Amino acid sequence: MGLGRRIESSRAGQAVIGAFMVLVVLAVLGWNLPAGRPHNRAVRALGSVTQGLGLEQDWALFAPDPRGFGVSVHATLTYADGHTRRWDPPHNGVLLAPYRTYRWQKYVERLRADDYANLWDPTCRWLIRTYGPGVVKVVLTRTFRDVADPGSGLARPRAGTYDFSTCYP
Amino acid sequence: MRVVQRWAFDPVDTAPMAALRIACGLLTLGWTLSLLPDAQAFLSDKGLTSGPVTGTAGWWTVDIASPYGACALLIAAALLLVLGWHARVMAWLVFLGLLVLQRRDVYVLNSGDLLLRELAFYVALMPSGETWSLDARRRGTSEPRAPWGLRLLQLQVSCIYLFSVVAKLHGSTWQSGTAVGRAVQLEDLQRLVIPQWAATSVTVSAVLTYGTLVVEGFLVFGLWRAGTRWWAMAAGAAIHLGIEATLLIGWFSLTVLSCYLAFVPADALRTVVNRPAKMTPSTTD
Repeated sequence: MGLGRRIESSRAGQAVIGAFMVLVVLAVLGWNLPAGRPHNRAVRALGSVTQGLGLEQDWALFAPDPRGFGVSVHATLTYADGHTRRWDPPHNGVLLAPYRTYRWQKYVERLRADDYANLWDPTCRWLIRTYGPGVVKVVLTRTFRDVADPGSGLARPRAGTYDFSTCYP
Repeated sequence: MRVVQRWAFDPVDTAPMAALRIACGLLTLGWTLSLLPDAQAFLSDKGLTSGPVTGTAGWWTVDIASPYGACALLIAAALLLVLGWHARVMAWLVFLGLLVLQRRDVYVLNSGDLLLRELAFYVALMPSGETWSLDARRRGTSEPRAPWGLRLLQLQVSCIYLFSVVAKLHGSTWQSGTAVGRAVQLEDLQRLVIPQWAATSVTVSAVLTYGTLVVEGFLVFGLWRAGTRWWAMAAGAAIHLGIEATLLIGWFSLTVLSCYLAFVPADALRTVVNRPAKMTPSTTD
């Protein structure tokens, strides 16, 4: 009988595995509790277990509500000779490409937000490194487009475009 | 207490665990291959973030000296996991590989990435190499084993739907029946574009929104009962394939549907796997 089987079939082994199972379940439940005092207590008590086991998770997909607006970000790179180039994060194809481009969508979702201003300069620097040499200025621009609530009768949702970060080499 | 002990430790056929191992390996292969075009941008010191995100990403956050090398290692481990060569070791390598790569740039992750990592964790806890593996072929035996790792994954799947429904019930658009109509209009998330008349139709949106809540609520318990299991899986598959077709959600739908294998009876899996063999004419006929 292999070691695994011996452990699983022994009383002591089952006690240890059972304790581990309880720990995992509590870590998962605690992490998932809705925001509030019980959640904070659970994360304080078991957060290191959850993170150590790589079990942090978030199942609030489109919850509590889907965003009320679509977002996109593009960059305008200006070169020393005055010509410009537009960079858009990959967002193409319907068959295989989406299994790659969702990562860019997720990045853009964060990049466009003021809460993630720490990403703006590194993104500019990356664009300069990737699309240089000769880049003298990078402007990041974000576009918001409202979605029409079902039943609202809004035919063409409003959109707004704003420059939100400029950087130089 | 005895019931719980039997539920977690009485040996069972390991076919569902083997199926999960193969699914996890294939998903990890696809996940890593899809990361390759952007490995430098997301994982390298010369990428979008000049180093690991410290403070928020958690444990196992390390510098990755060679993004392509790390991806190659993960691809090799995933391939060997599919084949079932030293399955337990490969499952832990796959889990650690996913963990390290995902922690390097947490800004590009969605729920599907996290779920794949968790699937790898639970597979690593299972004796998934007992069946349909090179390990089993080498040993020449395939014995029933305690399913406690499988049970943890089953509980995890129920948690997904439970907490998803709880979070949605707090939202006004889920209560008013407009949430799905809103979600499918988000241009940055669109895969196949739903016609505007359908997306803004009160009736269509309400049916899909309340239908999602009902199905997710049903899945919390429906997957466990033999009488409702197949109905629950069919309803879950309909929702996830619908999401998969219309929204840019990466590996989420494929991964969560793979997790349903944890609830498929071993007999059913063996019937499916053995059917092609039975259909092949024997050379002695």
